[in-house]
Amino acid sequence: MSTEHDRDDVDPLDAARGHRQIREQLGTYVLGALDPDERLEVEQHLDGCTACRDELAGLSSLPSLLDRLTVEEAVAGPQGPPAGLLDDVVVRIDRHRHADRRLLRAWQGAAAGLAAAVALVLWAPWQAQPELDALVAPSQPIAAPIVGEAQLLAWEWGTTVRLEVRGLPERDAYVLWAVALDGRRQQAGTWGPTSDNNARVIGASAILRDAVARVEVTDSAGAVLAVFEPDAG
Amino acid sequence: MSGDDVQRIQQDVTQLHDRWAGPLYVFALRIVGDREAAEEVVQDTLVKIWRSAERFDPQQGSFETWVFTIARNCATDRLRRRAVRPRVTAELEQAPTVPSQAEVDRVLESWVLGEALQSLSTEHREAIVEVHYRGRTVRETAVLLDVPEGTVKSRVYYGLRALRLHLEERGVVA
Repeated sequence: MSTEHDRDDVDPLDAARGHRQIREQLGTYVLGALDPDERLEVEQHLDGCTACRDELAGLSSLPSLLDRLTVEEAVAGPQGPPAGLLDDVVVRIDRHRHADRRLLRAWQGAAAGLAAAVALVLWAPWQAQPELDALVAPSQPIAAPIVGEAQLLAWEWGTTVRLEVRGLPERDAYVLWAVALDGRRQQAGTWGPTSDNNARVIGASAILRDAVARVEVTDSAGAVLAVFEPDAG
Repeated sequence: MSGDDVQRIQQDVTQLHDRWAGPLYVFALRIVGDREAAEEVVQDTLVKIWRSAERFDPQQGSFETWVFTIARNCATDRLRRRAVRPRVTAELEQAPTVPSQAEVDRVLESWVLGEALQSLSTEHREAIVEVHYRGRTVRETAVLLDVPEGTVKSRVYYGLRALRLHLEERGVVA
């Protein structure tokens, strides 16, 4: 005897009540928490009720999704970062912007009196706001008194390198290199000897900022004089 | 910098933060292992997203993947900084991998699910936790919560429905 046939015989109000009672068991059914008897009752109802089958289908993806969280995560909620993080990020971005402006001013002021020759390559219009990273500092210089800083400026087309270095050993010529993470090397500028062995050079490379692993200064024979790497600080 | 600028930055960053800080934190925590470092990774990532948003290229992949790629790079940078110095150059040449779309989806879905559970009423959540996460039967849960069995069933049912609705709104389930 089919359940459809049974239903025709019962009072519609009872049927509606029974239907609702079954429906409210679909949650515990899909989570596998019903007794065998109750499970059977639900399954018999499902055989004859398209609406409940659809409802069940809508719930069926939930158990495996729920399994992605641990009990602790389910009870206490996802573990997010501490509340002060947003303020810290705003402060950092603000500070970057101030630094951008200060450095640009210093750069403009210094441009007239550059002690060294300048290799300045610009293919892109300047209107885009560049991204400045003062992330590099000298590491392991060949000769102890070499000090300086290289700043990387990110552009759509590549990277500008601003180098200030003091105490270079005397050479006929110097070469500035940008070295990519994958090992590619591009010459970013050259200059000749200076009277005080200091240099301020602006160079450029097509290697994108995020791909620049380090900046090197070599002599014309390729001997590395100084290496500038991202500061670990 | 004018006050307007600051206000605009705050608005932009707040949006980024509200949308991404949570899932990024979970993601970062898995890589770097401790809360303090994970928090720093989230900061690094948000700053970087804000500063290089113009560089996002939809043809290279989804925004989500881009965000999590930046996060993975920041996390890898943190791990490298912990490594014994001086660093070996070869280490830098090993570029971190880009997280797969599936991996990113998983992190985001888990995050949204956690939020969805928190959005339920205490009664609904409690019933789902006991029945699903602690594996109790309806009878055991009814005794534990001191309510009729029918109440446990209806709480689980309406709780799951609310959960599903919440997940649908956020595009996690169809």
